[in-house]
Amino acid sequence: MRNHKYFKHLMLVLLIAFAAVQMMASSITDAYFGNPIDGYDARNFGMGSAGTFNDLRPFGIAANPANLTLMKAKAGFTASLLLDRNEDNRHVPLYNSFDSYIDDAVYASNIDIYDNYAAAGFGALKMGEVRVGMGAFYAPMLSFDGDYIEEIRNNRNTDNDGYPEKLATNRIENRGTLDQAAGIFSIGYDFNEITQLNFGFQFGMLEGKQEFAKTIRWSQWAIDTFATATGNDPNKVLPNYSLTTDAKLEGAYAKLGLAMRVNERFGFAGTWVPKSVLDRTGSTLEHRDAYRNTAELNQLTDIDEDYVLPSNYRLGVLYQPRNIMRTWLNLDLEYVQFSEISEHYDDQFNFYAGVEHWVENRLPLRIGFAATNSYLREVEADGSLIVKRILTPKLTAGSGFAITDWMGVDLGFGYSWREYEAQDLFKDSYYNDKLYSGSSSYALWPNQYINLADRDWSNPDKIRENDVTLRAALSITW
Amino acid sequence: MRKLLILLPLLLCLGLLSAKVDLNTADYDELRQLNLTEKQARDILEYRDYVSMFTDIFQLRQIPSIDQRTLLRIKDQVVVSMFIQTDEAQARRDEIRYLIERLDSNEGASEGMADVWEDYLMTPHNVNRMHFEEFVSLPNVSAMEAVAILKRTARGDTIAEMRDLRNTVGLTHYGYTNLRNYVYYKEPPVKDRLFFDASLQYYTRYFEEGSHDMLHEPFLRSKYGNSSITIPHEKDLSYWGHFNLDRVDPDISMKLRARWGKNFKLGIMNYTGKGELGMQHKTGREIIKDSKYYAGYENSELPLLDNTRLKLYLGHYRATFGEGLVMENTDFYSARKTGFGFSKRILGITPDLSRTQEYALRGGAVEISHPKFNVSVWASDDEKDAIVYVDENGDTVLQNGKSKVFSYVVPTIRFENDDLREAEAKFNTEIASGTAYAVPYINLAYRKDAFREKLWGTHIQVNPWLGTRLGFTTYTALYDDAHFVVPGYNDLRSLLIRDSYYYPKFKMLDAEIAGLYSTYKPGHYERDYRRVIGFDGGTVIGNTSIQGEYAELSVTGEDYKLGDDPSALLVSAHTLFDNLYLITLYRDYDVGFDNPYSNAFSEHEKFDDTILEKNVYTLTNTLLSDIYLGSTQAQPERGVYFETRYKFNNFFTLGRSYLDLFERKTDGRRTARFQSELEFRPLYQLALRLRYKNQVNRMDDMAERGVSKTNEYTLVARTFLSNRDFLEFEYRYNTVLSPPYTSLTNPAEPGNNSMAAAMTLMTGDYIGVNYTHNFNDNLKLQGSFIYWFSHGISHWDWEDMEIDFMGDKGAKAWIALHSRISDNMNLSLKFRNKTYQTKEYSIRKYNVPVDGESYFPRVERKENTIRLSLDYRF
Repeated sequence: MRNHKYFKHLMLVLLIAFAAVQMMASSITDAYFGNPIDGYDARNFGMGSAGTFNDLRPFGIAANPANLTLMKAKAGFTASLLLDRNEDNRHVPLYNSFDSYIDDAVYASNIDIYDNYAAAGFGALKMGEVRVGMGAFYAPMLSFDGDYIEEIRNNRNTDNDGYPEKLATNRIENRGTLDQAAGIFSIGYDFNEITQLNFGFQFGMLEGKQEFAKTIRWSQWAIDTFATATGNDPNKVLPNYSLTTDAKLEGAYAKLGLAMRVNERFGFAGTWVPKSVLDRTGSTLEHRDAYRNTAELNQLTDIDEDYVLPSNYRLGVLYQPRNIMRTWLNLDLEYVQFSEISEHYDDQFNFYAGVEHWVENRLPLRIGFAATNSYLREVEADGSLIVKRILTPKLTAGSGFAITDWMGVDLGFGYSWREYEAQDLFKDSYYNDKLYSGSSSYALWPNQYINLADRDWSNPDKIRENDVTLRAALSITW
Repeated sequence: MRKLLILLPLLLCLGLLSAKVDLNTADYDELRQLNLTEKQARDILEYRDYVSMFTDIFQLRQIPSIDQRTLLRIKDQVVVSMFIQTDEAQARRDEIRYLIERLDSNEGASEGMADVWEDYLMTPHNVNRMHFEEFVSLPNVSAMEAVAILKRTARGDTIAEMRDLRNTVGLTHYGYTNLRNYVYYKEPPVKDRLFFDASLQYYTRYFEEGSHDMLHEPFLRSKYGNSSITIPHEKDLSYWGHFNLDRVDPDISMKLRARWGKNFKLGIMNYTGKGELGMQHKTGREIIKDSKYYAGYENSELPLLDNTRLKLYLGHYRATFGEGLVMENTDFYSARKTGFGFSKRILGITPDLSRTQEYALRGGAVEISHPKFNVSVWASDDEKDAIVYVDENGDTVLQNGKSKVFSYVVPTIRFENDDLREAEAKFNTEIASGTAYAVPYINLAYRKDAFREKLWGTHIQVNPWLGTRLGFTTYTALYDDAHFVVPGYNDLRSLLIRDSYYYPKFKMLDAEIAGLYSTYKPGHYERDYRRVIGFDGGTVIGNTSIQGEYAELSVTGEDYKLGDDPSALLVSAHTLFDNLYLITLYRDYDVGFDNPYSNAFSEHEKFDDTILEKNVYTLTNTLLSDIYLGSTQAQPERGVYFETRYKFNNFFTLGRSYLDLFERKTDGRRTARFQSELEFRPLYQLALRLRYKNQVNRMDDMAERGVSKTNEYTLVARTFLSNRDFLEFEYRYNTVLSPPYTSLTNPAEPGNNSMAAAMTLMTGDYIGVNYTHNFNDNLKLQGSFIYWFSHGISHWDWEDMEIDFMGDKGAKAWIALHSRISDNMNLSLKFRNKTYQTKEYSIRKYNVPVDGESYFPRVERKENTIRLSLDYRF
C-alpha cells in the first residue's frame, strides 16, 4: 500500500508536468539580455533562491559546484519542470483637464506562459577524509521568449455601445533560449564529523538562438476604408511592416565555488563566475511595403558582435539554529559587474533570503524573498544606447514531500513584479494615414483633431509586469 | 551561550540510573548500545541539535524514524536529564518577548524610543534608586505612580520584590503591570555584558496620496488662454516623470547597536529612502554623512554624588524636555500627543538612531540628574535641508552675503542637489513664457544640506519636593551662512503662487506661512540666530498631576524678557483612579511661534489646510508642499481637550474617549471633535466594540464655507477561536455633510454647474477581516482583507506594524509571516496588494470640444508592497 501512495504522488507530479502546454513567453523587455531562469532546485527556489550553500538537493551543484561534495551523498539525480507566467501591462500617461499628468491608463495587457526543463546528476567517492565528486547538468540559462499583441483603434466615439474600429494589430513574437550544458568537479575535506571544506569547478558550454519578430498588420476594415477614401487608387495602400532578427549565441563559461560547513549551526559559501564573451552572429531584416511615392524597404543587416555575460560574485550563509521546528535560514548577496558590458551600466547588488521550517514532521514550509536587478536596453534612432536599471522584488513559497527516504518532490512558487518606464513600442505616427494617402484629412480617424505624434522619453510608457513562477523537482540521492 | 545540564536523576539515585542512557548527553556510540539503527541514533542527535533538547522520553516519537515499538523497547533503558538554559539575557528576553515584539511594532510611531525602552527591558533599573523622570518616561507609568513609589523609597523603605511593588499605595494595577518589566529589586536579572542588536529592513513602499500628487504636478506655463500655445503633454515636466519615480525602489534601513551593560553604548544607522541615491553610488564620506551614529557613556553610580546619574553622548542624540514646546527633536508628527499613556516622551538626553534626519542633533550632550536637580547641556553642529531662494540658474540667492533661506523642510525625497538643478532647468524652460503676473522661473527650491546649523541648549531643573519640578529650557540655533527671509503676508502670495493674479488662492489661514521665523526683516532687525526660551513645571497633588510649559521665540522683543514675543503655552492635568483616568489639557500657540524643535500636543500639524496642502498646483515649486507634508510642529491652536477611559467591570469598558474643542488661530475656525468607544466582553474570548466619532468644523460659522460635520460609526468583533487563532471583523460607516465640493457632486458633463447646490452628504463604508494563526510559539501568520468605498472620505487601517491611509474605493489584502528563527533572530516578511481607484473628478476631460465624451472611467491603481525585516539580538 505504501508503494501505491508513492505512485499517487508521482502521478501528481507528472500531471503537473504535462499540464504545461507549449505556450511560450516571458518579458519582451528582456529580449536582448534574456530572462534569467533560476530555481532549478525547487526547494531552494521556495527559499528565495538563496542557495549558494545548499547541501540537500542535487541541483545545488548548479548554484555552486562546491555543493557537490558538501552534500555527502554518493550519487544524486534530479529533474525539474520550470513554468513561468508573465503578465505585461502597458500604460500611457493620462492628463486631466488642467493638462496635468495625473496617472496612467492601461492600453495593452498580455499574459503568456512558458515552460522549460532541466536535469542534473552527480556521483561522489569518499577516500578517508577526502571526498571527490563529478557531476553534470543541463539547464536553460536565459530565455528570450516573449509575446506581445497590441491593437490600434481609432478615436470614434463609443456612444451606443460601439467600439472604435481596429486599424491594425501590432505583434511581437520572440523565441529562443541560451542553454547550458556543464560539467562539475568538486573536492571536499572533512575536518571532523561536521566541519568540512569543499572546492568546486564548473565549466559549461553555452549555445542559444534568438528569433525576434516585430510586425504591424493593418486590419481589413482599415484597408477597405482607406481604399474607399482614396478612390481605390492602387498606388495608395497601407504598408505592412516587419522587423525580424535571427541570431545564434555560442560560447562557454566557468564557475569557481567554495563551501564550508563550520559547525552544526553555520555554513558559508561563495562563487565566482568570470566574465564570458559569447559570439552573437546572424542578421536583421527590416521590411516595409511600398506606399504612395515611397519604395519598398528591405534592409538586411548582418550581426557579428560580442555578447557579454558579466562576471559575478556571490556569497551565501546558512544558519541552522535549534528551533521547535527544524529550521534553515539562507542568505545570499550577489555582486554583478554589469559595467563589464559597457560604461552605460553600473554594477549592482542582488539580495536573496529564505527560510524553511518543518511545521510538522517532514512537512516543510518555505518562504523566501529576492531582489534582483536587470537592465532595460533601448537603441535610439540615432544609434545611441539608453539603459535603465529595473529592480524586481520576488516573493517565494514552497513545500515538498518525500516519496521514499531517497526520493522526494519539491514544489516552489514565486511571485515577482516590476514597474518601470520604456519607450512606446510602436510609434503613433505610423498610423497617420495622411502619410499614405497624401490627403489633408484622415481616412481612418473620425475625429480630425487627433495629433498622431510619436511619444518619446518625455512621455514614456509605464510598464507593470508580474511573473508567477512554478517549479517542481523530483530528486533522488543515495 | 552558556548552558548547564543538571543531572538531577543522577544525583538522586546514582546507582539505579547509572546504567541508563541519557538522551540529552549520550553520544552516537552510547545511543547505538540501545540497539538503535545507525539512522535512528543520528536522528536523535540531530533532533537534539536542531529541534529541541529532550524534556520527556515520549518526545522520541516526534522523530519519524522512531516508531512506537522502538520507543517501548528502549523506554526503560533511557533517561532524560533536566536541561536548564542559563543564558540570563536570553531568559530575560524570553520573559519579555511579548513586550519587545510590541515595541518593534510601534517603531513607526515612537521613532527611536523603542530602542531606549528595549534597553530598559533588557537591563532594568533598580526601582529603589530610580528618579522621577525615569519613571514617567516609561510607557503607561504616570507621575502619581512615580511619586507613590518615590515616597516609599524616600522613607527608607526598600521595595524587595514584585509583590512588594504591587502593594505600593497609589500604584494602579495597570501601572504596576507596565512598570514591573522595566525594573528590578535587589539583583539585576542580567549582569553587565555585551549586548548587540543588528537589524535590516527592505521595504518597497508607495508614496502616500499627498506626496504622490505633489510629485505629479507639472510645471506648465500659465498662459492657457492663448490658443496659439500648444500645451505640452509631457510627463517629464513633473518631478515624478523626470526622476522616473514609477520604478520599484526600496527603502533600506540598517541599524547596528552595541552596549556594555548600562554604561557604554554605540550605534550606527543608515537609511536610504525611496527615490534616493543608493549606498553603492555614494562615497564612504557621503555614507557617513547620511548615517546616524552615537557613542555614549552612562553611569548611575557616580562616586561622591549620591544617587546621581550621568549621561554623556557624542554623535546623534535626542533632547526632550517639558511638554515638547521648546525642545523635542523629531521629524515625525503625531496628532494628540498628550505625553500620557502610550504617547509618551522620554525626557532628557537619549541616543538617537531614528530616521529623524532634519531635526537630528549631532554633537555632544551631557545630562546630570539628581533627585533634587537636573542639568542638561547640549551642542550640535549639522547641515540642514531647506527651501532656499534660487535664481533662474538655480543658484542660491544671497542675502547680505549669506544664503537666503525660506524654511527648514523634511522632504519626501532627499534629492541630490545636482539632479534637482537639472530638473529645475528643464522646468524653467517651459515656464519661462508665463503671463506678466507669473513668476517666470522656479524661485524657491529644495536643497539638501543647504545651511549649517550650530545649536546649543541647556535645561536646568530643580525638584524642591517629590514630584514637583521647575525647569528652564533654552536653545539657540546659530546660522553663520544663512539668513531666513520670509516676507509679510501681502508679499508672500506672489512669492509662493506662480500666477497670483489668476490664482487668488491666498487665504487668511496662510498667515501661518507668513508667521515663519526670519533672521532678516528689513528695517526691523538682522541677526544670525533663533532663540527659544521656556519654563516648565509640574506637581502631584493626591492622584492628580498638573504640569505645563510656557515657551517664547525671540523675535522683536528682548531675548530673555517674557511676554514680548510669540509664545506657546500648554497646561494639563492627569487624574488617575484604578479603573478610570481623566486628562484635561489646554493649549494656546501663537501664529508667530515658529520653533522647528517643538513637537507638542495638537489636533493638526502646522500648515494643514493652507495653500501648501490644498493648492499645490498654484505653487511656484510643487516641492514647497513638503513644508506641510513633513511638518512636525503643531498648528497654531487654542483649545481644551478632555480624555478618559473607564472600566465599569469585566464586561463593559469605556475605551479611550475624548472631546476636543479648539480654535485655529490663523482664521478663527472653531472645531469640536469627539470620539468614544464602548467595549462589551461577555467572554474572555469574545469582545464587541462600538466606536463613534464626530467632528464639526466651523461650528459657529454660518458664513463663507460654512459648517462641515463628520460622523463615523465602527463596529468591531474580536474573537479568539482557539489559543492559536484570532479573528476580527470590522465595519465602519461614515458620513460627511459639508458645503459642496463641485468636483464630487457635479454631473460628469463638461462645463459650468447647471444647478444651484446647497450642502453635500457624502457617505462611505469599510469592511475588514483580520486573522492570525500561530503555528507554534515561533511561527505566526497574519492576514487581512479590506474593502472600502467612499466619496473622498479618507479611511485608515492599522496593519501589523504600520498605519495605512486609503483613498476613494478599493480593496486591500496583506499577509505577514513572523518567524522566530532562533532565540536571537527574527524574520518577518509581509506582502500587500492594494487595488484602488482614484477620484473620478481628477480625470474629467472637459475641454475636449465634443459634448458627451468627457467622462473617463476611473483609473485603477495597483500596488504591491513587500517588507522584509531581519533582526538579530545578542
